[in-house]
Amino acid sequence: MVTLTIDGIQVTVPPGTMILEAAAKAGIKIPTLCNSKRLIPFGACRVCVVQQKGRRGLMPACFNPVRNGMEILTNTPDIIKARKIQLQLILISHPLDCPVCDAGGQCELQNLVYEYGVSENSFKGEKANLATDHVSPFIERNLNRCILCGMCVRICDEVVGANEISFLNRGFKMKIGTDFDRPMNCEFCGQCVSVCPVGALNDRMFLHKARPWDMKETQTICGYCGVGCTLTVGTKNGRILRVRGDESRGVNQGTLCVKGRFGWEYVHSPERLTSPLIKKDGSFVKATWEEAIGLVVKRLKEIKSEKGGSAIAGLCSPRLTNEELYSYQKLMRGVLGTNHIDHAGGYSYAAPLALRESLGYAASTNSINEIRKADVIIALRSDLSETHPVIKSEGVLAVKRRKAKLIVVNSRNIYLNKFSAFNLLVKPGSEVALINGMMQAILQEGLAKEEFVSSRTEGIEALKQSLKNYSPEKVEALTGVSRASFVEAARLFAKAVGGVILISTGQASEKKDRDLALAASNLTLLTGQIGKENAGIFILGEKNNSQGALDMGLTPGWLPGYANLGNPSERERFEKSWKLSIPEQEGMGALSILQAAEEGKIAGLYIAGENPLVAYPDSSRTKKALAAVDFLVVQDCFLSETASLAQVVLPAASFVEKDGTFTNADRRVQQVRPGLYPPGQARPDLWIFQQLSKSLGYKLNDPSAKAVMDEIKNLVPLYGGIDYARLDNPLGLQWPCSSADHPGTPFLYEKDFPAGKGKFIPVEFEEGPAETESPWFLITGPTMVHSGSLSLMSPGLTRLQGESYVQVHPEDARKLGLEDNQKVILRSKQGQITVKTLVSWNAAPGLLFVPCHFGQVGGNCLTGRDLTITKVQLEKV
Amino acid sequence: MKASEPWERAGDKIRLQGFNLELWKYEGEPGSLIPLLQAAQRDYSYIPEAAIHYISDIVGIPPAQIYGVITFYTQFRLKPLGKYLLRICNGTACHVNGSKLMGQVIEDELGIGVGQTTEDGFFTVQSVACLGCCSLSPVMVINEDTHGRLDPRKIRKILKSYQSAG
Repeated sequence: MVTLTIDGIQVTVPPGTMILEAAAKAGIKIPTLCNSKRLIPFGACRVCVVQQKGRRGLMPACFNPVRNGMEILTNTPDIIKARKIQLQLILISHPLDCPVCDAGGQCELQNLVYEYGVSENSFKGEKANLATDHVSPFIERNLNRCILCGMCVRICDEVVGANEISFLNRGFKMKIGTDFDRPMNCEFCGQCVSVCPVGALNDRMFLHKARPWDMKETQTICGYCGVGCTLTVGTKNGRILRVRGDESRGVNQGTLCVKGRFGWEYVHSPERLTSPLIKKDGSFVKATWEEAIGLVVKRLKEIKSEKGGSAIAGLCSPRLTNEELYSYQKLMRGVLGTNHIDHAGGYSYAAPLALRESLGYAASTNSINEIRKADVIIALRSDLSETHPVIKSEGVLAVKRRKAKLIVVNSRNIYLNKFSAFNLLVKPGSEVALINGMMQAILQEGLAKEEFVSSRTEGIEALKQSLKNYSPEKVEALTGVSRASFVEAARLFAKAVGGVILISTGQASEKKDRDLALAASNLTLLTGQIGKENAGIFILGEKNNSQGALDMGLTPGWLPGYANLGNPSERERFEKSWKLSIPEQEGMGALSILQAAEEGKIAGLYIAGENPLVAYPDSSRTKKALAAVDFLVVQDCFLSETASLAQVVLPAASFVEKDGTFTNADRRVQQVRPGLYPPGQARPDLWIFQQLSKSLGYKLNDPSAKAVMDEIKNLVPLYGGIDYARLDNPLGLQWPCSSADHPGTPFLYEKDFPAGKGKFIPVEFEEGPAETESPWFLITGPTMVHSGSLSLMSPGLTRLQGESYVQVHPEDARKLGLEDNQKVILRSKQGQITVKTLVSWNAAPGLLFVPCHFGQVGGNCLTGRDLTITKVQLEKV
Repeated sequence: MKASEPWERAGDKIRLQGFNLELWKYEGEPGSLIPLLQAAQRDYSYIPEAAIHYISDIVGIPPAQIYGVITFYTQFRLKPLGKYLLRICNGTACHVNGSKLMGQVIEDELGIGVGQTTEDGFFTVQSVACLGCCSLSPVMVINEDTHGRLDPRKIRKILKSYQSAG
């Protein structure tokens, strides 16, 4: 540690700290226009100059590391004069159009000019006269206001890795731009906008909407993916005007993706449901809450008394808050008497449950911010730039700052390969064989962490036995990956100080996800990459509360907190607390519910937030199943494809209109705070569940989300210490958090595994059924711009990507004589769609990719329920 | 992108004809950017947009940054040179003997200033510090031919002769 004094205040900081940071620690603010804690110091603005006692001249504080015994002065007349001159130099070309600038009030230049009283400028010079970029989506660039601090260029390089913009020209003509000054065509994450200290880069949606100080800003959690980014939502007069990231809050530290920053428009969509709807003679009629709830209660009661609770089933979206999910399963299980409840199609959570089997907890083992400190990262079947862009940034930070090695295992040539050391392009579905092959190589070369394996794991012999079948030659044949590259990748991972495996979940067969997670868990146990910082396995949930839905027992077989439904004493614990009885028999999962519905066994189906018709495989069969249900209730923000089949539609609030908590992909429970009132008669899901329950004759819980969390904390030991007072901090709390004084758990299994030892559970690779008549492998998934039904209601996002497409590899396109943007028909056993082609090197030969959203032309019209690999035929129109 | 330009598209990749292939051994070496840009310019007289993307793939530097490098150095051009490169000398001797006026005459005749190329792609005008033949001042060089002891009438005549020669 290094000790120095700054303006007479002594501070001790780690070596390598810059004076600017050390001063911040001492409580002294040194002004700067080009420094951000997210970026590597650059020294462009020269405003942060300080003096060292005993030395001549001034030096930039952002760029000079501390040394022992330094005496730094930050506020002498010389320094103030130098800063004033620096500001005057910047102001020579700055247009001073502050009254019409959107940065006014939050402009760092304006603030400094004010602070230093720079009212005159003896320097004269030309003002820049460059055209404003009115064309780029979401981002408006007014380069005349640019002060060339380079923060946008640096964040785009260092954090995002897109390198869309750069310094162009030289001297007075220098400016920031793209090659040939074309409009931007990037990820549109808006990180450049977020770091711009002046009004050169603006959020186009916020332009001329409000002065920053007129807005109310609410800290909440993003409602899109499982990363759980903290959003600062700016609202005025009941409308969102801007969303930004705050670099001092949340796992994202200010980084957001295009959906998080610009994808909120759906909240104000005119298509939002504002009143309950009841279907009369085939069309929807507006109804009051009393009528709608009365009808739902009457019909569900009838069904329950005629056919029993097991004729009722429920599907709930993992987009809801923990409190809502908990209340929903309580309502379904206890009040309506059915265990037929599930979420996310029932296929998205096999991976965390597999980790529960082998390691103990059904969740990621470490914290998201540790990824950037890892040495070796395996992105296992994870197209991070599309599914979790903020996690991609963690990977970019690791690769660019720490020279970490990224190993990409995917069946497509995903964008992430731009940063990878190894691109292991596997045959579709053969990831497990590759991991097994890597483990066999590790064993053969004696790279296994023997001590860790012998002291903390069990079942190594069985694993060794099963891995004998995975010789490098065989794995090469099974996966199509060259022996040399996966063996070298295995060596790297085994020798890493911190080795991380990232698995993103989504639509895949339950068995495949389970096998993949177990293979990953075996690999980490074998190499000791678990139970320590900067290592471990991450299961990246697709939805904002995928983790919470599992924790809250929204599954047919698990009660909240992974209490086993089949265990009478566990069930009793809940029954006693709820004063209700829970049916003994394990329920059906989502796809079985649909199967049963098809067979006429489900008379009442209550869907909250899910859109099975689009999100579940085999759309045409799903439609048949939903049509066969006597009484279908759908609760949603929009009249979704599924809702349009319902008898009663209940309007729900969006994530910015309610209270509660989400649990993200690193087990972090974070508070969701309302910034708006729901439109019209729309109500938070919690309110709806409670009203329904009340009409069914049971008080579900106290009305506030806080009270529900207090109930949860008493029943779910993992959440035992979580209450709203403690959640009011920038980083939330990571479970397991057993008591009020438990600090939360950033990484799991440090000392031991819950079952004592980590279990090796060998998994065998099974090739999918060989289907020969359809030549093309089909992969479906989300894209960076869309996540499902909600994002499609945001006009900005649909302008970027408005229709479905099929991604084709250029070599395949050449063979077929296909061009970009050409209509083709894809046909599988389940159905067919007509889409346009997108010829891209990101596909792989023989493999097609179709986004899983876009309802009637989405990938789910083609996929089957068994969800092994889909194969399709392709025809030109 | 014009069809006549000397590269072919193979999907996203661009195959450039006549490129100095020796340089491709620097694949993945960011430090070889400048020699690659010079090679491109030597072959095409300027750096075509497609070459930027091609070089970007090779050295792993994003196109925007390469564009930044190109615009930083005066040696790189993003537009093709004209058929005739006209270099007007501005050295001391030429300056004394009226090179400024000669420059103006050229500008009037061709309608372009220094550093520009005529719309028909015929002439590119550059200004240089000294051509090393001060005895002929004021002097200009068109491609390899030197024209000395210029006066406005002579310049018009010379330019006309090139224009009519085609």
